[in-house]
Amino acid sequence: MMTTLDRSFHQASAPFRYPPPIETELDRLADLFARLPGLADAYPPRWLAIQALEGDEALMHAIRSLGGSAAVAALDESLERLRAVYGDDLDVALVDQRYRFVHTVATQAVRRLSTAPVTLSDRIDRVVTHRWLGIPIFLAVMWVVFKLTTDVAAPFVDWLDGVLSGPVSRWVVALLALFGAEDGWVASLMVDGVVAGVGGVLAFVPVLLALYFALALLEDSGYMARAAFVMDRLMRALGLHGKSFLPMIVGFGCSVPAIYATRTLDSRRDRILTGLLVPFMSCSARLPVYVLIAMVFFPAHAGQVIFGLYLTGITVAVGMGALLRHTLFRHQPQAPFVLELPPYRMPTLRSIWRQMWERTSSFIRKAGTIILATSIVVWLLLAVPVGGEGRFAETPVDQSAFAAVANGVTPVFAPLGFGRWETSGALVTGLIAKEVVVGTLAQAYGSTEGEIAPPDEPATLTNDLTGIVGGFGAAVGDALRALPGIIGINLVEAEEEPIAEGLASAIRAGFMESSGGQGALAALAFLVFVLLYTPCVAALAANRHEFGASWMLVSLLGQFAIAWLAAFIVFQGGLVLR
Amino acid sequence: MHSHNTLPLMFVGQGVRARLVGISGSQRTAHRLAELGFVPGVELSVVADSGSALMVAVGDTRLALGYPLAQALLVAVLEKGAS
Repeated sequence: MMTTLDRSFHQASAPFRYPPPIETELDRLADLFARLPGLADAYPPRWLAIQALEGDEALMHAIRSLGGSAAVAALDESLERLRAVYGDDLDVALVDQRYRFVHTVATQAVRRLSTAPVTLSDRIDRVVTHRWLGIPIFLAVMWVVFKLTTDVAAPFVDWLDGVLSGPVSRWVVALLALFGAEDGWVASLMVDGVVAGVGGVLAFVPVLLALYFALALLEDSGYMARAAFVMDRLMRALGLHGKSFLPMIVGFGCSVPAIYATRTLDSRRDRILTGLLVPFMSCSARLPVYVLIAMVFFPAHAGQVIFGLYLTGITVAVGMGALLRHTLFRHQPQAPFVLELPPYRMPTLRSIWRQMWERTSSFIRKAGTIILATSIVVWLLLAVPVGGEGRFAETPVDQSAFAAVANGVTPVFAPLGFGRWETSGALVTGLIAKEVVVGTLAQAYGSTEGEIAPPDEPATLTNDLTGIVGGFGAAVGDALRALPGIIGINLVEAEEEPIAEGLASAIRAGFMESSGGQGALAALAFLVFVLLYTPCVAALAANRHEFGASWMLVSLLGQFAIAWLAAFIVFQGGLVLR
Repeated sequence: MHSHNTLPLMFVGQGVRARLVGISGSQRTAHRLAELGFVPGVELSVVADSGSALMVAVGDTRLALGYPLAQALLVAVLEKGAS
């Protein structure tokens, strides 16, 4: 084996030759190119000659501009002579030669069975990519992913939320007490600003871990490429093909890498169209908002509500794709669909864990930087009194600068059923990053309670620690009991209240008030709005970087309008139907 | 070159082995497919059909090809495989 490999290696490093008529022309052209300083400095002459004969347009252009008329004339003569031999298939002949060469090397080095057997991968594919079974299988896989991120992750969210609003808040105050600052604005900044804002977002790490676990599993196993193949038929409705499906799937994680992933597509038309539709795929940053609101308003059906939102995003993308294809992109043809499908593999735990950790840690870094900064700014605005008799950090929230600013945009949301300063303020800060919606809601509604969760037992460090560990154990038990529920067997009674009770009732009361008593309906409209409205600044920046400022504006304004309309239809339509 | 039993890959059933005879369609398409390993003489078979694209086996590679491309590949059937 070793000797064969060695031998083929030596042959491989020998320059490989095309058939004589081609070689003659290659030599002539390479000699000429080598003598033209402009060209010889820029490209290896022989390589350039091969590319020119294959008709590479960019390099033809380079030859024209750098080599001048002599080079162009020589190239034309060569092509003319070769056409006599190969007809129009010259470039195929060149490629064919390369494959033949690879084949001879391979046959010397690789021993294989005489006929290509049907592999296990192929047998799986006959089912998974079946014309009629493919799409139902894909939807079933997605359903399992969402159950995993909602029901299985929920107990951990509950536990983490309890830890952050209880013991952690108490420890922060205790630490401040060491410096004699347990009262006053510093403590308020730490507890109502940092812990409520950042903690409110961090509590959702288990949800993201579950989502990233599922995505990593699907990517590593090779199923993702099959999904693109299966979904090709549906993607055609969007005026795209299966290859655009991969950026879309990445979009369920985050729009930013998804927009950059459009670079793999063959035509600018496909890239822009895909980039515009990607934000309709609900990104993981929006998931905490869904979980929070769904747990508050629809605790028994949180999973279905969230899955419905994902499907709504896909449906809107289909509609928008059809619309754009027949308007802005009417005259632009589509590149053909070609995609390589890797064989199925057993994912390794290490690689899955690495991907989960990579994505989750970037989320945690975001929580430590941009979300922290936003929380502090929101806290400041909440602390500054505008009207009435408040003092700094002791003002009633509805008289704070934050409420005053947010009240400016509130009328826009009144017809949608959530025209209150807390929600409109959260939507504004959500433009910085969607997760911030949760933090801001927690801050704005949380400060109405302004209380740290009282401990069940006297709050000693030991009691707190045992409470945390015990709570985690209970969460693991709940999550395991939720697993059979993925396929519809329900062992657990629906959790009454996984979100801190004070916050939940404050949010419920707020939505009730702004919608004239139709809180749940307004909450649904709010969720639809969060799903569809303007992407966060990072995604907009990526969009501008890839497609230019005008397409970014299309995305920014277009999505706001679509979100407003959709939420309007949900809320007003719901009122009519009642 | 094109014998009477040549047909586009589109119409070869699943699991049937065939040999690539030629590529119809534009020069660009032909070049593109050749670069992917679809050079005349190579053996291929259809693994699956999604309704808008074919999954094609070429050697150890599996490629998804949209119908228009599968239409451009002219093949000669080698034998009826088990489908």
